Amino acid sequence: MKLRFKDARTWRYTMNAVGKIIDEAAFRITSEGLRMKAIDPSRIVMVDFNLSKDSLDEFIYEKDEIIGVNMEDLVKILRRALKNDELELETIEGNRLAVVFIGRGRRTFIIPSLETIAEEVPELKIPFKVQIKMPPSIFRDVVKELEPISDAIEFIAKKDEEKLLARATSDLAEAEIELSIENGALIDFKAEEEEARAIYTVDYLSDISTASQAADELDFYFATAVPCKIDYTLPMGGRLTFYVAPRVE
Amino acid sequence: MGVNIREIIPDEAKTVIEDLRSLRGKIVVIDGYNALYQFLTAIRQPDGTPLMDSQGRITSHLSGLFYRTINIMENGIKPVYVFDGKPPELKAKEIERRRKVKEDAAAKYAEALKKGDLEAARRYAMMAAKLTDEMVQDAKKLLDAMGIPWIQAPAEGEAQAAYIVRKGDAWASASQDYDSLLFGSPRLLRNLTITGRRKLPRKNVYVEIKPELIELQKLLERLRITREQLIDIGILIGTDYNPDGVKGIGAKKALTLIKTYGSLEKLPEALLGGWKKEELLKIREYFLNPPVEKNYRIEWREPSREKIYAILVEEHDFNPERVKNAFERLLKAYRENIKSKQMGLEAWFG
Repeated sequence: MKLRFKDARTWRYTMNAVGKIIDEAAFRITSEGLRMKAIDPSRIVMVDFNLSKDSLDEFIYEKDEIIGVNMEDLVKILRRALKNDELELETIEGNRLAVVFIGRGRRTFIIPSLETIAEEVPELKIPFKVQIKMPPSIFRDVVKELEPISDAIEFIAKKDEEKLLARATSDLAEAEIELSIENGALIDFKAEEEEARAIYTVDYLSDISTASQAADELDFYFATAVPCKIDYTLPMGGRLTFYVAPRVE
Repeated sequence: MGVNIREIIPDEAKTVIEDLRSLRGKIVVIDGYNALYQFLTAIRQPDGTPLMDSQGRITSHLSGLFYRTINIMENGIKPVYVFDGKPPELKAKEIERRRKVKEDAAAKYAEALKKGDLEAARRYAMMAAKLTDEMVQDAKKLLDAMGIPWIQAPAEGEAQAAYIVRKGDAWASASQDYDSLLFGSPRLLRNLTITGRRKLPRKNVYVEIKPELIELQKLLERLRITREQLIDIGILIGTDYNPDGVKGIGAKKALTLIKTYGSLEKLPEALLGGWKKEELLKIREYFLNPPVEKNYRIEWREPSREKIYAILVEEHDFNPERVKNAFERLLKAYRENIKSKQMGLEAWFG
């Protein structure tokens, strides 16, 4: 297998977020492209990384395979990605993976491919009632601003007012951020429920929001007391999706 | 020391818990005496001296209880402790045996120290470690300050733990001993309070110890025996109530004998090495119907910084900075995992 992706930094930021959730990843290669689905050990966060063959500049497929990678190793290498670097991944003899940056010169890093059994990750069935589109940087800023206040963020979507409130409360302080199309924070707002409320642990949102730098768009789905779906649209049409289980008081 | 049925536990009944976070949200009943005793033996200086405060009072058990419980809670597990009450009459011999072992070990410890043999001194110090009533009272006070529930058993803590798990009020019992399986606990979690790197005795080798789950139903199914038969096997090997068991019978032989004859009652007297059948059957009856407290409450509260400081820093000279940091971790774990409930995605699997 060999694939080439236009912007190595997309991989740098997405894998940085994924590496905070799981220690090892199993990338499945099929004729359709590359996909990696995993769930963290505490079963609170699920990640689904999907690069269809159309989102790749080059894709040489020989057979279905699974590439097991230690995320710490991969993240360390991807930190070397510079602006304008392209990324090439190639499975090579001896069960190894070559990570190549093509930009100023051709820089090759080789890591072992782990003997990984790709765990079958179950499909989720979540009755979402709210879908909000926003620039990924807004999402990152919301998390960053509320993170020092509390260990959880409550999201409230108000259908009539077409706005999303993000709240953090602790013994010491309270904070609220109001996001709407009107105030320029949101791109699109759809809600089926009058008022949807859910609470998520800030640590997970913070880990996930590090991928914001890589993405063009972000869709945020939720409903009252159900997991949220944070769906990043990556350049060239790839997707990085996270699901986070809620907290209930 | 509990019954040693390790040898006959089939692999299918054991699961190594690679990551404690996979037990998030589960209530685990921890055998308090067993855990405190482990802290007391393990948390020591190289020559075997335990941690002590400025007045020379031992604090190893408090240190272990405080930091390890916080670690368990940070992984999302909800701990409950149970403490032994009055030991049953049946246990008198074992208690006397333990007392004697400790007495001998204390003498050997002093001798080893005199000779400057630190390795031996540490070993004997661990054997001589005594958990006093005062230490247990201290531990209960600390748990109260931490907001962690504890239950006083009328007799054996493991019997109480097994009862709570069987009733469905907790997910597993946690102890190093296997007795709670004989008492009928559906799940036994070993190594929960000693997880991490441990030095092998008499060797300069460290091993990684991971928690291990043993499931009673799987064990019984795989061995094709009933719980009553498992108890009979335990009795033949030796329990706290008949310490050395029947002479010449180990775990494998006990399993074969019980499977061949069906039960203790049907076992020929000649094979009982001088034990009277009634004596052994009394022990089985105890495992099947031990005294337990049926009215208990399992409730966590917000930890109290003042109370924890009063016990650890003011009374026992713990490092205030370390206690402060640990308290903050405890408070965070309480708020994230107990006060509000972090759900898992399982509930939405299609």
